[in-house]
Amino acid sequence: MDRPFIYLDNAATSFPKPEAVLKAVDHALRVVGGSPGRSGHRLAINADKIIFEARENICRLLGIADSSRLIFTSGATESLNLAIKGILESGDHVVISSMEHSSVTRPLHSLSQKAVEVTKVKCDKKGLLAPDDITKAIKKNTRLIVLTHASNVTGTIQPVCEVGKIARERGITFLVDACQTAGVFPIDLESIPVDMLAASGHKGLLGPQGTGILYIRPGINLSPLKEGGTGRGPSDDKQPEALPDRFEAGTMNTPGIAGLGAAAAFLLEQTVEAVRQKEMLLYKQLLEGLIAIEGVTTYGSSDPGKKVSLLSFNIEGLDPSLVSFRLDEEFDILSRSGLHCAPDAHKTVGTFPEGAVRLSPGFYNIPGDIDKTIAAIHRIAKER
Amino acid sequence: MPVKDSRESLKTMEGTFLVFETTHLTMKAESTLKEADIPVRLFPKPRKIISECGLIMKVLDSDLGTAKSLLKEKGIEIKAELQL
Ligand SMILES: Cc1ncc(COP(=O)(O)O)c(C=O)c1O
Repeated sequence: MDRPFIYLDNAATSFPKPEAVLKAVDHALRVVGGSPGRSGHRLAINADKIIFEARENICRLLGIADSSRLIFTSGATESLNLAIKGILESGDHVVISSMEHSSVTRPLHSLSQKAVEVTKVKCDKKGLLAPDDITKAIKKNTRLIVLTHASNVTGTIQPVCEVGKIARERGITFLVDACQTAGVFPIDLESIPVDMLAASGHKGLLGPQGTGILYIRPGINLSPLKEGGTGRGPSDDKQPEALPDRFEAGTMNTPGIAGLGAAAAFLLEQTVEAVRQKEMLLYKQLLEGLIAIEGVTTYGSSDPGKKVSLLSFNIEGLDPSLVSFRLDEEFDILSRSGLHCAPDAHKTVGTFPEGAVRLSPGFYNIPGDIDKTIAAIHRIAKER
Repeated sequence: MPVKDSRESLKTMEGTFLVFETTHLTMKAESTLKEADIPVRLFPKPRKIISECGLIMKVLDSDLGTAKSLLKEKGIEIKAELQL
């Protein structure tokens, strides 16, 4: 479908979505209609099936053996809040990197007022973490390590397996924020030492906004963030122990989850490897184009093998928000400027407080979009 | 026709029922058995049975042994078996 703009903000939310996702949302609202986990009539049972199948599809995509351990949330922000607040208690210590999103740093900031101690491990200028620095930051009371799989500012992929091993050897719980990798970079939770994994459903997973997931490995016990009706269960006041119900109180976002399930089916069919290959070709084209422009600085790892398809840059002497505005206004190119909800990451790469312009090609972009974008940035840089 | 008769009998809320802890497990059991061509049907749970899941699954007596061993093989725990 021809669109009057070029969408390069897939790191915020992917657009467009696969046709199957739109159909699944429509079907859930138009035909299914019932409330999952509630009544016993056919429409409620059909809603149960939608939720079940979505859960199974995502588990297949991420290599999760026990699908009851995958929780649906309203987004990665809720997933990260649940994981962080569900495990930490007063007196605990937590280690995070300097590339974390506000959905990690803000819950931790509020916990730090309740005697939870936080250590932020600094990454290098390209946003890369040295696993040894994590080891050095660990204390006797370290309960949790949180690491973004790939930063939403630099797109640099972090050494999660190495950090996971460090955590596991010491019995520390390891939480990974996979917002920028789920769906676009292969993840097999059966084989990597990750205890909890949070992701948005609406970015690389190609589902609707208002969806997210949290995987909780067996043996990890969390207290729920919210308590309430899980539907048809016993009529006592105690929140159930069994997963997923324990963490899914309240009427679920059935249309959103239906869409997310369809998106996961789409990705299983396309394969994440093929998605990555496609996106990284666009990324490399963009990178090569931008580094050749005088006055342009790009951020993040220079090794495409250590990157997801997202590139932040600045043009010397120009305010990134102005560049982003001109791209939209004059060239119909949609980017994101500013601090990207990750001020620490910008401090790490040296772009605080002005931020940077971020371009994130996705599954539905084509090489022509990148050519036009490079030409536009060239124009803006030349006219300085 | 015994097969037809037995499928017909799935419609009544009498016979052998399996109970699972959560809706998720009930769905998983249903899809596992259906994939193995074992006919089942879900019913609302009678009040007296305590479980997080509000549904129970009817299985034909002739399929019960196969169904139970298949569920065991898949690690799907049956919380209770009941006769109504
Ligand atoms: C790295 C990272 N973590 C967390 C989030 C928060 O996700 P959501 O907006 O789905 O809650 C985002 C995106 O906004 C992100 O890029």
